[in-house]
Amino acid sequence: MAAADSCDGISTSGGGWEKTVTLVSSDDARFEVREAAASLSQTVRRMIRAGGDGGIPLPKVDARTLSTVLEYCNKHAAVPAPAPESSSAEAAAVDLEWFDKELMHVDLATLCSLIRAADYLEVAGLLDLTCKTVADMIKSKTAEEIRQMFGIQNDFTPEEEEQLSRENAGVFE
Amino acid sequence: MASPRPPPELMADLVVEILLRLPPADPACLIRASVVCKSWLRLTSDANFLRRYRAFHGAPPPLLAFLSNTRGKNEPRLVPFTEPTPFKPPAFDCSRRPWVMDCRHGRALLFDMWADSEGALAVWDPITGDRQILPKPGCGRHVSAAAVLCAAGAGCDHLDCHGGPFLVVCLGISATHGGVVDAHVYSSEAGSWGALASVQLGLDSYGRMNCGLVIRDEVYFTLKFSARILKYSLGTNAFSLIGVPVDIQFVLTRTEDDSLGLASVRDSNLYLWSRKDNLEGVAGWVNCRVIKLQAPFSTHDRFATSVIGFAEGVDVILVTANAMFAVELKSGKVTKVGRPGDYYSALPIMGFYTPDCGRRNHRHGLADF
Repeated sequence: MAAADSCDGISTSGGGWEKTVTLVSSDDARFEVREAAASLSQTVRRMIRAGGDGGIPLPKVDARTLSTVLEYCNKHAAVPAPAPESSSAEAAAVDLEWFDKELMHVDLATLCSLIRAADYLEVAGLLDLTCKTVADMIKSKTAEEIRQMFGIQNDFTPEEEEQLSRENAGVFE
Repeated sequence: MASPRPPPELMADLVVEILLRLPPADPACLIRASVVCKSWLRLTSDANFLRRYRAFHGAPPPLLAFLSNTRGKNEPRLVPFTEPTPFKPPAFDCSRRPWVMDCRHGRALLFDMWADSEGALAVWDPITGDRQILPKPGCGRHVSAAAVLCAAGAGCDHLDCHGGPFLVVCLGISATHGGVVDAHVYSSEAGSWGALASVQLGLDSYGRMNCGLVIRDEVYFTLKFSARILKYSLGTNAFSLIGVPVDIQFVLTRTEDDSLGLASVRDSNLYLWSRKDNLEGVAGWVNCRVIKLQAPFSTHDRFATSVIGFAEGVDVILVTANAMFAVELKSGKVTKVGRPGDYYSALPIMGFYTPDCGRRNHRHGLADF
């Protein structure tokens, strides 16, 4: 079966056998990942279905970024689905929230790489988490501070700037 | 120490993903981001982005501020609610401090006693500044209460219907028959006043009633001089009266299960009531919750303590005592939002203030509020 070519397997701590896939980063690093975790990426899921030899190539993601993405996927795919509102469900949610928070303790450049990777790999939860983190970083900043953060040139003429400040004048104290 | 790596440039659609997540409860965040550069201004003013932004955050729209009706001239007309940047809606160009009859679904209904009779009632959009003067209702300027509501139909999520069709229900005191209240209904689509129903209320009908609450096609008003609620059904064009369980000032609320509720404050407690059917199917009031208002709330002051406003959907009640407080019903959190004063009522402005709004407001050339 063609689809099995990129899939291997590893034994799990419970003694079971879990299917794995090999992902290859843009700089040729190979990551063996549980298929359940890798499948959080819709892009990878489609490629597993399509099949192929020698691992799944991800030419738009470098090893450093991919390892963080996989850290996220491994953690989120590992969470079983206990009955909602049970105390273990609540504890698992708190644990995940804590994990996500820790994972986002990185600089802006890393965050932007993660956003691009999450978008390319279509990991919806990670795209939401990273974009929310950057939104939280910019929400209390002035336009000038945001420009400095992202290295953006202010391309408004002084007249246009004046017009813009007039438009919302008096709306915010 | 190594200097931080420069952030890689993000494609426009990823910038959009970030900007979508700026909180609408503090609209200044998106406004500041919109003026970063031309490309961000284009992204945030795009109709498709704005639609996605509203849908992403969903209903109910954020509570931006309360518009107050005051007895004196010194109390602020506006109580901002956004944190940390207080929001001030665009001014309405009227120097005579019109009475805010109602504010719902992005529209405020203003009543100006001293305007020409044609201009007494106006629907004003506090976010865009648009103002539409209504033709004179059958009761002329003898208006005791009025409510404005979206007429886009039951499927409307009210996230962006403020420019669409609306209805105004106006209760007028008949000058010739003492104690008769008439309901007049204005449809923006028809551009005229239609349905008419009457109820004999006696002395209750004098004086201004408090603003309405709308549940489905029923509009509720509180009668000022007796502890009763007047219900007007748009569907059947009929009135009915409902007694209340308290003898102090209250505001009408809408409970989680979509039934009629009311809130009143006594000492340092906020009492919440809900109207429910008993086992025999007879409707009655049930005291469903008491919220102890903690310090800095104090009733031992020269200012009267009363409930003056309710924001539907976000479940925030405005109480005045030694200061003005917002009580968030879901969390029980009490926040000081303004100074005390002589207030009749306060009506919530809820909506999305986005970068396209400033552009529109500016074209209206509005004076200060």
